Amino acid sequence: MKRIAPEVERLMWLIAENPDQRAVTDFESRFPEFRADLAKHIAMVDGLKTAGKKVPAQEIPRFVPRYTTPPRRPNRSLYVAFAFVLGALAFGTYSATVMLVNPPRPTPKVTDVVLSPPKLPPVETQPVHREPINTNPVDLVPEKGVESVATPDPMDKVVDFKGQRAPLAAAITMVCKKAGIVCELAPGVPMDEVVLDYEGWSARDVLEDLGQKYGFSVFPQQEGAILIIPARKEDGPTRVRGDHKPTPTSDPGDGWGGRERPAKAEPDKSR
Amino acid sequence: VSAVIDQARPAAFDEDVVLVERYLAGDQAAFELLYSKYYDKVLAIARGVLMDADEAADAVQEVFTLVYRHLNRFDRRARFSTWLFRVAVNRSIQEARKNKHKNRNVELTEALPAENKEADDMDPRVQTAMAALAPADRVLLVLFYWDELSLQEIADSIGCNVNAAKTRLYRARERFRVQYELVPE
Repeated sequence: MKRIAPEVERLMWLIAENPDQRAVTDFESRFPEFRADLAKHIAMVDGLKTAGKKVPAQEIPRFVPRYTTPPRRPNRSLYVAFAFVLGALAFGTYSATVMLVNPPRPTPKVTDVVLSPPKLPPVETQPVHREPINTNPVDLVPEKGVESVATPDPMDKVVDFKGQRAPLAAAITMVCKKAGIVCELAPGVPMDEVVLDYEGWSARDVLEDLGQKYGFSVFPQQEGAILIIPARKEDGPTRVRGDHKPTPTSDPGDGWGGRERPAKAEPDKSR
Repeated sequence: VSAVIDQARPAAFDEDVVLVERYLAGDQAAFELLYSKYYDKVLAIARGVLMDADEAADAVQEVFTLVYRHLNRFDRRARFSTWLFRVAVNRSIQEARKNKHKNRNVELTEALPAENKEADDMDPRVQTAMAALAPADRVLLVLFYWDELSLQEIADSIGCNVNAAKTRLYRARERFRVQYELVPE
């Protein structure tokens, strides 16, 4: 099949659509090699036009409008609601899956805070014996150099002796016994006979006074116990360790600070 | 300026618009006149696109029903016939596409009688060649050769400009020629 130039093809279509005999003759004289093609085009267009005309001339049917309503599109709000339902379903499914995979830990129950004190087992109450409160302000003030203790020191217990004669060791033992003190005498305690004449003196003051006179020192041991050690000759009489008496201002050589001097124990000169 | 020129330009008188106005005013007879006037042309379009007389008749009723219900949408900027043909073309192509999918599931023996019936009415070569074309190509040939519309009217009916319509018609004609020559005489 020979190739037809587009211009010639267009010309053939034009002639075929308006088949004028003069135009056909002119085309055939100019393009004699396309004479057969022109005839084909004319036949083809004629057949095409005739096919359209061959539509059976039937009676025009009466027009009856069809009221078949097209399928209604769902409302937009329906779409939105459907989207919400889908979203809720998706969230629910996700939550259920998460809960199944990781079950929630049991959370501790929060209860009201109990402000009342915890109940303790009942304790048998026993009557407590209390010492009568000492209201004497002098006794409440602790002496200098003496550690204040809750329990009264037996050394501070007042002991009274009225003109009793006894050897020194026995006199010391009597004082300690009266005050409730355990006394231990070191060897070498003088055996002088002394007269105990003290009234209103504490055991500490009595022992100190005797120590100054007869040459021994009182060393406090554990609570309620003392050790009596005789003093050396060059040392002279000593004082009880840890007992710092204030220096008397009125009578420096007195050593009693202006207090009324109790009756002195006189050594037994008869011996 | 163009708006002023358009207003000054005398609009071509369209007698169909009078019938449209009458119908919209409530005159049902006016629509019957339009229906009987354009039935053949709309049927030709539907038949040329659908290649089936029954389907074409059905499509014509569909097209006029659409026009009947939506005639108030006709904006009168174009001729009524152009607007009607455009509706017919779109509806026919839509039906042809729908039938194409439907016919795939139909047995060949069931489809034969309809084709034989059409063959009695139309040149078998033209029938075969037309059937081998796409509905869009068939529309152009039908509008040009069967309904004898001008290129401007064809352009308005298919929604393009004149040059595009001319080019599409040329290509559709060439495809038809190829298919026509393939069919033995």
